[in-house]
Amino acid sequence: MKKTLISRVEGHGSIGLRIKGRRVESVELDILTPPRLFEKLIVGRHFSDVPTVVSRICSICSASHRVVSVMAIEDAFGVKVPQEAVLLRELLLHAETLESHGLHLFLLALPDYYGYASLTAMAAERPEAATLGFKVKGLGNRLQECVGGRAIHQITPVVGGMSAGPSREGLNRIRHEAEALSAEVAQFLSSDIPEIEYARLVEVKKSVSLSAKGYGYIGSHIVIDGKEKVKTGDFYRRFHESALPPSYTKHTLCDGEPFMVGALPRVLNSGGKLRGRAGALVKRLGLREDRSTFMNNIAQGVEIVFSLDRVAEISGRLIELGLPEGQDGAITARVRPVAGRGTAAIEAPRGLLVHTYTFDEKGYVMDGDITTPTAMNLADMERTLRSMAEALIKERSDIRPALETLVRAYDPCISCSVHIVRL
Amino acid sequence: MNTSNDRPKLGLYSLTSCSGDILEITNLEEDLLRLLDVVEVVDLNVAMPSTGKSPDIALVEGAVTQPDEARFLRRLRKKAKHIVSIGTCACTGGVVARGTKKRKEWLREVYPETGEGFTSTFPRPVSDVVPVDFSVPGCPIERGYLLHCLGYLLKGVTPEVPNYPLCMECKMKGNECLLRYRGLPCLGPVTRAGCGARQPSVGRPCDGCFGPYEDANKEALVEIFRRMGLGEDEIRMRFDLFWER
Repeated sequence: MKKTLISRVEGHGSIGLRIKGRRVESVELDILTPPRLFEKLIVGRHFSDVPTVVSRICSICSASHRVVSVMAIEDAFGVKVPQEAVLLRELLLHAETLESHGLHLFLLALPDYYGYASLTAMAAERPEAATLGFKVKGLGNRLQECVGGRAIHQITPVVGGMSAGPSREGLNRIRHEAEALSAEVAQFLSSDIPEIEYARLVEVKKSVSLSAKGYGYIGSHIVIDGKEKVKTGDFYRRFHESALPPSYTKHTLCDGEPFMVGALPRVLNSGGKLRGRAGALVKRLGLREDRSTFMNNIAQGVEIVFSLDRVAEISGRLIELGLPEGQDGAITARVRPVAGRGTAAIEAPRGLLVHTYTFDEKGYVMDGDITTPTAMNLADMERTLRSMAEALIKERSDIRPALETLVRAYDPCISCSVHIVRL
Repeated sequence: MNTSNDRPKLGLYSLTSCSGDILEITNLEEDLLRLLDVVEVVDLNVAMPSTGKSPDIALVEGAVTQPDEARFLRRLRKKAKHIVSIGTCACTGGVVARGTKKRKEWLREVYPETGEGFTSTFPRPVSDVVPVDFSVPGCPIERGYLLHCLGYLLKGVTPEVPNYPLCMECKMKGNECLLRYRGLPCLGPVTRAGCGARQPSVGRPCDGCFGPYEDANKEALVEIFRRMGLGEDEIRMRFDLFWER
């Protein structure tokens, strides 16, 4: 079996291909980040320590892990979180999306579209793309610091609400920057970004995302293919993990089939709810009709514009509310632990993320389960890798660069492999 | 950018981790460009193939959990002038180095089909495998603290870092003391300063990710926690999150 290490993804991974003559026998995606056993590390811990431990699963999505963890605990205890705290959490998730999408779209994926082998090569000839990426990522980081207390492993989301208020001055500066940057990114996306040459070989079969009130990253229902709604609490009834031979990797399947999560499924399922600049972009780019898996990167671009506009809007509202800053700005509901189980789902930058915990009556963890977007996408990555390998093997000798590009289109975060490891 | 070849060579290596410490280095933004002006990056194993050159300073993040990682470190020790552990996982094993006795059982439960065949071992700090010249703690590391240390190391001098409690920085910021006035179990009094009291500044007690400074008086803080009404188990778990190896 031939193995190719994938570069320009967050973490370590490789594609294993078994080819006989011109026939593809098997395709396996290996996750090489060693197991860290987070679901076991939290057993026996007090609920208040759980978000702190699980945010360490991944540095890029630490805000998503922290927020969804806090929400799953609130679900278990029946806590009603104050509106202002929900707004601050939403702002934090937009900040993370900007940091993550900015890094992935502009710095890791775009070189594929323009035909460069690396970011350095692209930056030399198209500095504007790289500069824009650094600007988006930088703004996301500063906002995570402002609202979350730190750019990585955020501090402020706590069970019941938020432990502090952001600085008004910081919010005000970011609001103005976001407004200007949104126009810049929208203009960049409207320019002709070349299509990946094998874009028409693979497409989304089943798209899964959260249903929010408008377009958004927090919600209580999961949508399958734009129609069917499943309550978040019923996730494990509808979605199953199983080891598909010949791979021993755990795959998550929906009705026995692979499915995709991430920016493109979100736009396919809920893009009709996008308004303003982002809504116009979706129409202009024809994103709601285009099911090519590679459009995931372009959908991330639309979400950058959406998140920047939301950041400007929410910051403005928070400044008007005049919340106290720092240590004095805690907004929390009363929390009383009760025995039982809680589940929450969130849209992390790279797709649906689900946390479930069971607690004893004093609030100590008895059991935990974390299903990450990369785990959910794994089966679909193998499905599309296989069909692309089959299509390309007839016409070229080295299909590895094409397969690597496809894996990157999913934006896998491989350190997120809470339990999809196979060694 | 300075492209001459006499710049000191910097290697960045990621072992078992969330990659957060290397990510913090990329988050240096403009300072990163300035850093790249004075050093040559010869390795960045998360993103590019090795240049094959030996590093003068090797920054290593993450815990050691694989025989491959231990072998890699021994080879690195032979060619690198200085090895610097960055982040709590590399310094002490970190948040994942817990549950010493239960690990085999956990692997079997999480990976029923494949767990038996795993080569992974209990997470160890880098210094358990090879001698380490300097440690930069934090989960994640602080960008300013790292740059400060690199400045010294590039001149061949052992970095001078805070050897006093986090409380000093917290007081200087004018924060309200969470331990005294809000009754929260803050580890500030026994934790090395250097992060600018990030957690207490936003209303959460310090979790101790920088670890102890020299002569930190753990027993005195334990006594305070007892008087606050914390049970022995609760006290143990406070220190067991990051602070205590």
